[in-house]
Amino acid sequence: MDAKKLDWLKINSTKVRGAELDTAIYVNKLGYRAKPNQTVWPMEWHNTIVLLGCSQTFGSYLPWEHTMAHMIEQGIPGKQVMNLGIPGNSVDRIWKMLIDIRKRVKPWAIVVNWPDINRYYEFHTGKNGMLSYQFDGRDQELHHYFLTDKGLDYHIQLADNMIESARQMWVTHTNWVELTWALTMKDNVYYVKTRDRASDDKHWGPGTNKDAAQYVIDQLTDFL
Amino acid sequence: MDIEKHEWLRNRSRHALRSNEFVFINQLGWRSNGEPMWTKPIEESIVLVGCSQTYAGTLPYKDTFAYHLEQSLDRQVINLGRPMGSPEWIWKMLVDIKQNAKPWAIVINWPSPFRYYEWHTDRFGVLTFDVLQRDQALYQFYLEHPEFLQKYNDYIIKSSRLMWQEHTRLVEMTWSIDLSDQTHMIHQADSVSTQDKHWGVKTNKLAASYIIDQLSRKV
Repeated sequence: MDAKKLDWLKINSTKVRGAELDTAIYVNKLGYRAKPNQTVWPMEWHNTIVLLGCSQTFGSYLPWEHTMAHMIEQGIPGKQVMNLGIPGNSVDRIWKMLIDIRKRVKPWAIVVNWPDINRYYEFHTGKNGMLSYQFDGRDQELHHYFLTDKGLDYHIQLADNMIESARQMWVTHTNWVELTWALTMKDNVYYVKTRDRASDDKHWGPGTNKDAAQYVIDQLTDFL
Repeated sequence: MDIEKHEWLRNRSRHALRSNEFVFINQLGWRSNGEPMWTKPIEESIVLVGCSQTYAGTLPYKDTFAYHLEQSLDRQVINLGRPMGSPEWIWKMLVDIKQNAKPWAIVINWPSPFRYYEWHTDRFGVLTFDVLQRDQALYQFYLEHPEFLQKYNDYIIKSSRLMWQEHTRLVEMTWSIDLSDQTHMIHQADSVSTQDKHWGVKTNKLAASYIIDQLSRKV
């Protein structure tokens, strides 16, 4: 792929926190986690599996070899995995990214690892927010609104509609797989149960990444 | 159409539309041509989604663009116009419809991007006037950050388009100058009256002509 033609996909390089540095995380020219030293993805869109999600997909606190992106790539020969996981990512922003992608290109497959419903996207600042954690520099007013019963109800119904519209935009357009790590989503989509954890004791460990990758490989193999 | 099989389409708003001297509301809660229920299948129908311009609550049915379409194209029109409807609500309706049916055509008459939908109350908000009964905290937020609503609604419109444009005949238009760079704007030629600034008889005819022309290109 030509990096210049991918400007629309560019994000500010994902911030990597202190402890994650030990795991030698490599972020490519466009700001996404990638195979070490791979500045841009080599194959074209028709051979690309786009993986969207949050830090579970990014592979926080894990070396590249233990991420589901790497494992899926190993399990589906001839395809590359574009890991567009962004730590802290929300349903809202994934929905937005799916629109941006759908308008421009047609990947061989889309895989979405939906995050918890307690995240949201600040359309006016371009930042993700989280109900359980007040990040610096976020919109306080919006954060407090979503913490109220009304605000939460508003956001849950909106997020449900975003997920359904994401499906409707993609499911007949390309190969489509969904999963989630979030209990709040388990009625809506295939839930991957956590069986081990990364060094931070929060994110999926290598075993759970393997389970997730296997689920995706099984689903995608049907489309080969 | 079997009413029981189309319960998903029922207008469940607490502020249900009511029949009056101009308007007949059918058994599912939407404005119609006087029939208690649409008679032909949704798969053979043109579905209109929009706000009060589409609902046309102060115009007799024969002056609405829904009627003109029905007459000119000899197709049943399902008018899902809801007064105050916002882009978000239209998008919600489009998601619901896509889950349940494939109309012959969808026509969207986009309202102002400065409206929003209260998902938790099923009511609408508008930035240009304070709607006292609504969720004040949400209203205040959007009032202080109209750019949030504008960017978000931009994606709502794109998402609607992407869901439907390859699925059936899709025609979009708007009455809002704020969306004129995104979709075809119907320029208002007249109003219902000096008190009611909604599209009048002429403008409804113009809207119908535009839709008929667009649909003829898509057949």
